[in-house]
Amino acid sequence: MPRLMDLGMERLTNLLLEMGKLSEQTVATAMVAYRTGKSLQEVNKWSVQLKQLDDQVSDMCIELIARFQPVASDLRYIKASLEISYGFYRYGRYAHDIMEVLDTFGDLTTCNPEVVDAAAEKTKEMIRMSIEAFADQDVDLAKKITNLDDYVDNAYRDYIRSLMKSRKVNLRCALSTTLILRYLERIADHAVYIGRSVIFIVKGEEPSD
Amino acid sequence: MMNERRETQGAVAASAQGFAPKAPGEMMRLVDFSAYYGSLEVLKHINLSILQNKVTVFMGPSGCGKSTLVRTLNRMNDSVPGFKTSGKVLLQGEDIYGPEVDPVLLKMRVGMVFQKPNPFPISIYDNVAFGPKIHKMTKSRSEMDAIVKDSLQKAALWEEVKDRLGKSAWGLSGGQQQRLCIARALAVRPEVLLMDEPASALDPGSTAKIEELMVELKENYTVVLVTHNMQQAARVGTNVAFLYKGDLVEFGPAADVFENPKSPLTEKYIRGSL
Amino acid sequence: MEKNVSRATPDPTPTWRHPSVVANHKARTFRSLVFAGLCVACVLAVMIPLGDMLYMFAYRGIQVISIARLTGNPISATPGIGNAITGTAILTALSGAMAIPLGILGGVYMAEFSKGGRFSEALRFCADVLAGVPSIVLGYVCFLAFVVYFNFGYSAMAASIALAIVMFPYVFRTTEIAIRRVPESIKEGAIALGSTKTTMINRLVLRFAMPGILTGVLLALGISLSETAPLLYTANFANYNPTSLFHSQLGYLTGVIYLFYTSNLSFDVQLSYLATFVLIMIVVALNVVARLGLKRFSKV
Repeated sequence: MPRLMDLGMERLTNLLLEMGKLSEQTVATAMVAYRTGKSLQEVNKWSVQLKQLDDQVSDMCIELIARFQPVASDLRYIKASLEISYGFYRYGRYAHDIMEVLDTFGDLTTCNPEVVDAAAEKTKEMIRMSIEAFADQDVDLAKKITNLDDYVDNAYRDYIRSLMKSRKVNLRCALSTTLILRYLERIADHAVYIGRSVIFIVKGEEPSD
Repeated sequence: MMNERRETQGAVAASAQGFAPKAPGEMMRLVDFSAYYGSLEVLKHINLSILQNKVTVFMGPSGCGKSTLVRTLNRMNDSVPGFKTSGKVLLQGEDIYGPEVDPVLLKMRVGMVFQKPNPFPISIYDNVAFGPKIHKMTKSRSEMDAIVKDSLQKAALWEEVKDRLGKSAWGLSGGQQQRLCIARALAVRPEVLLMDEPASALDPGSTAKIEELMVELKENYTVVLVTHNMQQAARVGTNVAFLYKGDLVEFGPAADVFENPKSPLTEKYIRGSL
Repeated sequence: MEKNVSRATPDPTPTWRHPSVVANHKARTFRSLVFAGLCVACVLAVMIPLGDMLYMFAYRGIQVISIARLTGNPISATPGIGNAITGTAILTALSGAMAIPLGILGGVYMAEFSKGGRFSEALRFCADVLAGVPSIVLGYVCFLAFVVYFNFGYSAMAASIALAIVMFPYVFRTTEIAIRRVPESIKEGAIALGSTKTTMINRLVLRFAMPGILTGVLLALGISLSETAPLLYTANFANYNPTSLFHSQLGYLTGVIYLFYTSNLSFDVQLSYLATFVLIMIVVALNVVARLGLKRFSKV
């Protein structure tokens, strides 16, 4: 027989899964906008939605704590939910920031998309892994997310270094690419954090770095 | 808090060895202790360390043996027919079931407060003075007055009753009666205070007062608490022992047990899905 | 033709207005009143004759009451019941001194120290049987044993022993019951403070059980005051005060009532009424004292 708290916990899980899907979609759409040069306003709408969902998750967690005095794995799950919800919200937020870059700089299809595309692929993979690790409570998958993070970090840093070395720089492309890479790097970081939260739920301890 | 965790873990390790010498800061220790009602084994090979000036909590579902366990600590179970024990219960290194220990004097060192407040049908003063009187602890009336006042103060009851010490104890409210029983137990100056679900018959306000009292009392006494209220165990306990069907399933600092319990059985119990 | 049973037609009147329910209610109320009336009638049927009887004794007793009557004995110039009062007092005191301590200690043993085995069961059974034995039989047994065999002669001692035997079971049983009613939690509380069993009993249990014990004592005293037959067998009857506890007869109030009522001498009959009156007063006084004593204990 399910406990009284289980209804709330299930609702919490569903909220998070919804947020995961939505944030994945938002980031993917933002990257499509980058590739096609067309500004897609859905991204902004979804980003706002994600903020609202984050608030809902926060309220739900507070209510569960106040009403049910959760302990052990329930308590860890609630703490992790707050962190993971924030992570999904940030996915959406950075996607929104990428859209702002497009709005500010205009059509970027003339710039070399190689670096961004590669970084975006890895980032989207990391997003997918973070959502799946949470949905399945998969510790091994969560640990693997960290491995991909280095790639995105390096992509960002290497690009900046190459800019500093080169003679001729197209300011528009350079700035926009830098910003977008920066945002992708932050998304990747949040994916790592989400992986860590999943490990915390299952194992009960923060993984040592 | 962290120091308490380390202390407990050290004591837990020591008691697991069974016959290790008295660990520092340890008040009582159960060594491979089992208890039987006739042929029924109600406590199974318990190894447990009760630290001085801490609140040790026994919790578990009904019938797990926690009340039996706490009553063996002051030999209240001796009068139950067919009750047998094996193993040792050490108080400051001395086995209380050994031949040299007088059960009557033991109760001066290990006092007890019961689930339902049981004040005697005499005045408040006489209730508190009962213990010192029968043990002839004082020589003069003023000495007795001092003990009564001190005990009532330690039980956070003095201010409420100081003007009516001669009135019957049965005129007090439930929460006051329970604090009177605590004062009565403290009057004989015990080292350990056993509390068997002391707040379960009280309303939430009185319960909160008793819980605050327990935390205060641990400064001067060693408190052992039995409760079926998990949140109370979490609020009040320094170390928490989880008992199930006579077995000691888990024992550790309260924060550890309630955030990240080692045993899946503990996890099930505290989450409410046992 | 099929019977067309219609269902689910909503009933407009609520259940408490249905005529059958209302009629039933009226009948039940009536029966309750009849029953209550019968109870009151029964009480009156008992109380009225009792009151009448008391009034008669009071009336006739007060007619002849005087200091002389209360201090003299039947053969003095002013016939009185002084020796009877003294005799009753001696008998009550002596028998009480024997039966009450034994009864209380026995009750304490049964409630606190016995292990519930066959011995205790047998003891309790014997006490119950003893309570049911007619006092005249006990009187005769005591006659054979103490007056004859042990050669006390007709005496206060033999009579007191007989009375004590009559009184003992009541004190014994009520003490045990009163002590058993002391809540276990109180006893546990005392043990947990390091009290030994005897200390706990003396200081707490007896105090708590005192109302019950007192009731038993009163019951026993009341019984001893009302006995006649066993006294006749063991102490005979005398018109003077006894000179010793052995081989010396004495007078007692119940004896006066029995022996003088059928006398030809008119003032003997009056003495009989006076003795009745005095005895009733003593019993009333005993109960009043007991109630005051109980109040004092309950206040604590």
